Formats: sequence, structure tokens, C-alpha cells
Amino acid sequence: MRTMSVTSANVSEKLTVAGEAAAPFEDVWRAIWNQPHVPASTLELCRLDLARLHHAEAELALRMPLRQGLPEAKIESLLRQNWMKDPAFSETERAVLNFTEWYHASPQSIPDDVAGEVIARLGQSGYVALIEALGFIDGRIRVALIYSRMQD
Amino acid sequence: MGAVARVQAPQGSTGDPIRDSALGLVIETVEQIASLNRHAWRSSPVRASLLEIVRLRNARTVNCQFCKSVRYDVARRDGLTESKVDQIRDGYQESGLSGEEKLAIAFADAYLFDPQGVTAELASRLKQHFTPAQLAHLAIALVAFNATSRCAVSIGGMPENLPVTEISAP
Repeated sequence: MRTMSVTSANVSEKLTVAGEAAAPFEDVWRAIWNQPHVPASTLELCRLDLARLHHAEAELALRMPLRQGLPEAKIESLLRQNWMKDPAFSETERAVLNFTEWYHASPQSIPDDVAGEVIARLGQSGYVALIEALGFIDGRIRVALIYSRMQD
Repeated sequence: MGAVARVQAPQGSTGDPIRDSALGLVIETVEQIASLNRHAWRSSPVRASLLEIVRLRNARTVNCQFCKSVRYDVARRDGLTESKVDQIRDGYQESGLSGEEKLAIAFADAYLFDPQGVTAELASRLKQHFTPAQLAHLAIALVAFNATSRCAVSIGGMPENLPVTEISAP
């Protein structure tokens, strides 16, 4: 019997049995991708970087549907960890990816200058939108990995 | 962790800890996150004391002082004592917590430390003890608790210690 590849995008199918909390959980997911402070393409880079850090293969194969596409060459560069020097990445994207990797290690460890660089580029609302998005993207990747293991 | 808050919460008070925090700066997401937090407590097929144990396990792991200091009233009414709270720490397997409480912490730890490392034995115990609805609710609640506590830590400006404070479930 084939099993479903569980990712941050489709883990909701596993969670609908929760009942009333499932709908607001999806509402948050839609809201973080549609807020105006951090472009969805930037969040997609963060999602893929978190997937790499989690060694989440199904997640790495996923591409979120974006209004403005993300070139596959740029994704490959990200996953080769070339984003620091690749001119395809903007300074804002670099600041956000640097922050993402600190966030993944531990939010407590994030240096003030790393956070400050994000705030300087995205503003306070953008900073909050980013940490909200990272929290829910990272959380859904974690749950997807757990449910993948539980269906083995 | 920054000693000074990196962003300022909006002015005004609604009485809701999420809306009144810096998360209130993002009006496009704050109502959805507040609603999720409310449903985590109000629509739970998992007993409140168990949910609180999972929340506190997360709070201690993320080291969110605000989250660690709070006790939800519904969890206390459901039997969560400070003696039990003290046992939600490393070595909990040998504590006096019940088998169900230890299993809930094991689920939280899988999420927090090694989601790829869920063993067949743990998966089997989880599926035997909890219904699919309970497991799914625990997963949703964990994401909500973890994401918001990480937000609080990322915003910074937390005191080193806070007194234990009971609050009403949203």
C-alpha cells in the first residue's frame, strides 16, 4: 500500500480529525502566506531552507503556488547554501535567510544585529510577520515529519 | 535573547494577551492566531491538564519566561498542581506523572527535539492511547504553543524571572 508524502501544505488532511481547531489552524496558514509585509517568495525561500535543515525530503520536493514564481535555479542555489554570495538573492532575502537559520537553531540565540538587519529592511510589522510565519512553517514541517513516521 | 524588546506592542489593551502583544502589529494575522489559541483551549478533545503539561514542556524547552510563568485556570481545575508542574522536566520518565502524562510529554519531545526520530514503538503507544482526534489536536496545539512562544523569545525584552500567574483560558 502506498503512503502519502506528508508536507507542511497537506498535513492539514491528517489534522482535520481534530475537529473545531482544524479550521482556525488553516486560517493561520492562509493568513501568513497572504500578509503584505513579507513577500510569499521570500517565505518560500525560508520554508525550503527550514526543510533543508530538517532533512525533510518530501518538504524539499514541494513548491508552494506563488503569484510570482521563484526560479528553480535560485532554489538550487539556496539548497547548495550559496545564498550568501549569489547575486540572485537580494539583501533583504539574505537578511531573512540568515535570521531563519539562527531561528532554527534557537530563537534565544538570535543576535541583536541579525534581528536588527531584518527590522531595518522589513520594519517592525515585517519582523513580526516573519517570526509568525517561521513559527507556523517550522511547526507544520515538524508535524508532517511526525505523521510521516507514524504512517510507516 | 535581547534584554530590550526589539519591537513595541501596539498601544491600547483588549485584554487578550495575543492581541495586546507585538503580534498585534500584524493586523492581517493576529485575529487568526488569537482564534487558534482560543480553539486550542475551548475545543479540545484532550483534557486541559494534559494540554497544559504539553504547553509547559514547550515553554521550558523554548525558555519563554512569559509562557513558563502562566497557568491556565482550566488546567488547574482539571487537577494540574504545582507538584506536577515541577515534574515536567528532564527525567520525567521516572517521575510520579501518570502514564498518559508521560506519553503526552514524549509526543511533545518528538515534536521539539527530533520529529524524524519517532520510533515505531512510540508511534504504536500514541495510537493505542490517543484517538486520532486527540493526537491531531495535540499536534495543532503544539504548533500554536511553539510558534507563539518562539515569537515571544524572538521579540525579546523578557524579564529573567516572573511569578507564577493564573490566567483564564481565552
